[in-house]
Amino acid sequence: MRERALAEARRADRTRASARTKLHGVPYGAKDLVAAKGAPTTWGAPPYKDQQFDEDATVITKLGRAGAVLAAKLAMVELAGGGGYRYPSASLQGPGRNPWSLDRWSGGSSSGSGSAVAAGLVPWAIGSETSGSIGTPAAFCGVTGIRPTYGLISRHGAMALSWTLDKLGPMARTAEDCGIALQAMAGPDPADATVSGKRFTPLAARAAATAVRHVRLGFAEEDLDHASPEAKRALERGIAELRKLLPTAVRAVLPTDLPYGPMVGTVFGAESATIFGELIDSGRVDQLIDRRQVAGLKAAMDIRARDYLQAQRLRTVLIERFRELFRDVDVLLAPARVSTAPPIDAPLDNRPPGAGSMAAATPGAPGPAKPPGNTALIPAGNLAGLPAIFFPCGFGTDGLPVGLQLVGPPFSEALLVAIVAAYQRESDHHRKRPKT
Amino acid sequence: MTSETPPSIDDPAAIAATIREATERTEMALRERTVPIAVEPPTVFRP
Repeated sequence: MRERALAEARRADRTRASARTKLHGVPYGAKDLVAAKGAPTTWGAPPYKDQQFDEDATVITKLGRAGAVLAAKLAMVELAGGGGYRYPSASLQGPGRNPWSLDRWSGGSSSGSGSAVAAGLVPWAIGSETSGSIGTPAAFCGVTGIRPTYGLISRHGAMALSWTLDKLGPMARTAEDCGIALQAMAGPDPADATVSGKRFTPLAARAAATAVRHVRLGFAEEDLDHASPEAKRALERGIAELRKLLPTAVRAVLPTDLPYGPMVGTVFGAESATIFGELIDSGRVDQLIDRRQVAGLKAAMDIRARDYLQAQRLRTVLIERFRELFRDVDVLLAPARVSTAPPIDAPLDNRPPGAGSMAAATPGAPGPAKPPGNTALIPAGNLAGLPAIFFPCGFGTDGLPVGLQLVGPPFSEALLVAIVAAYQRESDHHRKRPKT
Repeated sequence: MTSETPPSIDDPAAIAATIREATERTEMALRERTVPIAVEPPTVFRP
């Protein structure tokens, strides 16, 4: 890895005069599920601890062409949490420690990407999201992350967890930096049939200012009723700050008649059990660290075809519902997470409703008694393949970061970046740095 | 896993029971939601 990074850095130095992108010579890290020649790609899991690939993932190739320097492979939750894990320790590299407090979790499954960016070890990193794996570490670590529209970025050479849900995306200090990285990562790839072929270009300054002025923001006040006591006040302030910038705000709520948790659990469960079928059948799955994850992967082998197809058909219904919702609003706003980072040794399935991620997702768990608002925006947005941007909006009473998310229609990343870039020009939450 | 964790929480039988109950709830939640038969799953099938 070191030799590869130095070689790329020397090449960037030699070609500096002809640099074509802002990424030229800029180091970055990649979640350890993205293949990079000359470096281990462990998928964060003991059964794959010695795995190496002899070619780069498409996204690494694209970034290399842009002059970026791959400086690190970053720790992650084993198999990106397929099966549902119970503890932050569910990783070959150990639990992701949060730079804001080392006894707190950095979130998963892109744990190392969140930690490394927040700690300033790299200016930006590649993460991935199946359902919450960019949003959770972005929120817990106080960094900005983009979950792109499904199909905007090639996944060729990245570990598959769920063919119909997986997305790669950038995590950085600012929305503008995320946009610069996304521009280099997006685009066609003949090696990935699910890629849309669309490219990403950030809006020019004047177009961005006009777009932000006219945004119709959708929001459900009751989301804050689900916030933890530590996070609530900072979330309220952050939402108030954003609403000053986006004065046209209307109430908008996800449909309440769709079982988002069971849908996403069934889809990624059935797909991940198929993808890791050989691992499970061979018994090597028992080498995984987290017992809940082992049991979850084994149980997912028995998901029935009728349930998988029902979950997929409900996705069709959900996509249409989102289409209707986006006739009245341009973006949906919700807390990225309703609580701050949990202790590093605490079980993850005792968290408040809406705070959960892939971690120990308990499909079909009873819903909250309070009106749910948009607390299911992470599974709903992932099921519909929609883009999201996660960004810091302050600190909880425990001194840990809290963040918000904005979700837009397919391929609305340029608008999402413009809104958060405008917010970050007016606020300084993203400039705060951990002391640890 | 941490040493502070009560053993019962991570007992294999308890984990299996939790997963079994969750699976039953999931199946029920999916099956009780009727969807018109004309609604097809999103597909990548491209002949």
